[in-house]
Parts: sequence; C-alpha cells; structure tokens
Amino acid sequence: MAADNPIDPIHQFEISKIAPIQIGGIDISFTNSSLFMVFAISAVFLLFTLGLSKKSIIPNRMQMLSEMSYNFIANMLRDQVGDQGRAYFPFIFSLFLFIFFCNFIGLIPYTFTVTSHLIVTFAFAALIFLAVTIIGFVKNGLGYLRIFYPSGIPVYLAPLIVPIEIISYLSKPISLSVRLCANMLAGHSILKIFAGFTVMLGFLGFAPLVFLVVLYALETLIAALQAYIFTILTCIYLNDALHPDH
Amino acid sequence: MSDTNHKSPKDLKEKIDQAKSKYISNKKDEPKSFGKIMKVVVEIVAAMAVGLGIGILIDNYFETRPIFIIVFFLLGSAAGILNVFRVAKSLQKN
Repeated sequence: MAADNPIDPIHQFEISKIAPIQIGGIDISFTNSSLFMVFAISAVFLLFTLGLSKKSIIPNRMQMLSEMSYNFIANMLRDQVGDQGRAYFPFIFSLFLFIFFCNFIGLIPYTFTVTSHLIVTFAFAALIFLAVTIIGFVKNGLGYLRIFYPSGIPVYLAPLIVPIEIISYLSKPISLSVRLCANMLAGHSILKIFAGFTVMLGFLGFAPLVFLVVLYALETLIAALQAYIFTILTCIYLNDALHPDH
Repeated sequence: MSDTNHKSPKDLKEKIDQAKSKYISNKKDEPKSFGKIMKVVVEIVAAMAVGLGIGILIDNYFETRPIFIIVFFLLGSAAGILNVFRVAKSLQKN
C-alpha cells in the first residue's frame, strides 16, 4: 500500500535500524527511536549548560527558561506530595524534561516521536508503578495493603471491594502509558492526514492548510499538556504511596 | 480619571478582585477541559482491559472459560467507574 501511495500517515512511526547490534541473540540495535532519545537528552543538557553557564542575578533568556522549569516542577511536587517528596525531585524533573522534549522534537517535520510508541511510555509507566509500589511498602510496611480496603466499608462487602480496588490499582500504569501514547499517535497521524489533503487538493489545498495550522497549535498544546499530566500523575501516585491514609 | 463609581478604596479593591477571579478562572478552564476528557476515557478502558486480562489468565490456568472472564470484566468495569469517580472528585477539589 505504502509503495503505491506516497502519502502515508503511518510511515512516520516506523522504526528503522541505524546501527544493528546483536548481543546473545537479543536485538539491541541503535534505531531512529534511540537516536531521537539521544536528541532529547542533548536538548535538555544544552538547555541547562547554556542556561546556567553564566549565573547572573539578572538572568538572560536561557537562564530564565531553565530556572522557570525547575521552579515549575518543584512547586508541583511540593503541592502534590509535600516535603517528603523532595527526595524524588531529580527523578520527577528528569522525567518531565525527557517527555517534554521528546514530544516537542516530534513536532518538527521529518523527525520521529519517541513517545508515540506504547512500549516506550509503558516502560516508563511500569517503572514508575513498580517504584511507587516498592516505596509504599518500604515506607508503610504491610500497612500499605490498606489502600485496597478503604476504611468505613462493611466486612461483607470486602470480597467485592478488594478485587475492584486491586484492578483499579493495576490499571494505573496502563492508563498512564496509553494516555500519552494515544495522544501523540493520534495527533501526529491527524497532522499527516491533513497535510496529505493539502497536497492532493492542489490549489484548493489552502482550506486544509488553515486547519493544519490550527491543529498544529493544538498539538503544541497537547505536547506540553501530556508531559505535564504524565508528571503530575506520577506525583499523585507517589503521594498515595507516601500517605496511603487519605 | 474622573470616574466616581467607586466611593472608597475598598470598593475598588472588590472590583479588582472580581475582575481578577474572572480572568484567572477563564484562563484555567480552557486547556484543562481537554485533558480532563482524555483522562476519563482512558481510565475506564484501562480498568476494563486489566479486568479482562486477569479473567483470561485465570480461565486459561483453571480451564474454566468463560466464568472468570465474565466476573472480572464486570469487576473491571466497576473499577473503571471507581477511577472516573475519583478523577471527578479530584477535579472538583481544584
């Protein structure tokens, strides 16, 4: 199909190997996905080395940007988790920046969106889920199991409520990862489809082009919003693990 | 500035506060509502999928298909609604 039709909205999500590597029968090739992860990390690194190279009292733009992002996440963590959350700040901050830059680099034409692959976002979500569960058990001991049995529920309802709570708990990493992935996948496909309309309609293509500009603005909003939602939900899960009583 | 509508500084302050609250609430409403909807939909589907997955695993293990699939799918749907209920509650708080 893709060969006969030059306009293929799914092509942008294909993974291609740049440097094939095989170790012990496991394929760990360096793909375009890995390349754009490296780009995202380089962008973060660049932002902070450039921003903080001259530590002036009156900041320039790059310094403002890096300090604002730091404050934004620090405030969010303090609001959601409180003072105990400070220990997890480096992880939350790196997570936010990585997802944010992956989403934004994906908006540039001819690039690859790392977060549009479910396996990437699910790896993050599963790691967060495992970490949060372990933190919950370390901080509260077996008392952490109380989150599956909310107080004030009669004993005869427990066989019904406890499985529901367990399923609800297990669904957290899935909803977290699917949300980010689906938003990125759907948004980028729609952009490509509308771009295809513009090409196919020739002179009349200006109508979808207007839509494309609007959609692109919306996608920019979603890229930032989804990074924010992913991070704030991580904070909420962390809060549940640290304070399971409320 | 010959406006005599506000007699005392208190009146003026009230007006400013009103205007401020309007501006802030309007600004907050728009970008978040989109995220809200997306959040709720995914929440239901994820819980149903987990319930169904557990049901299929148990049924394959004990070879009792389709009893546990039905039971856990219903439980998963209940968990999805519970999730949505919680999201709605947390949104109401903000």
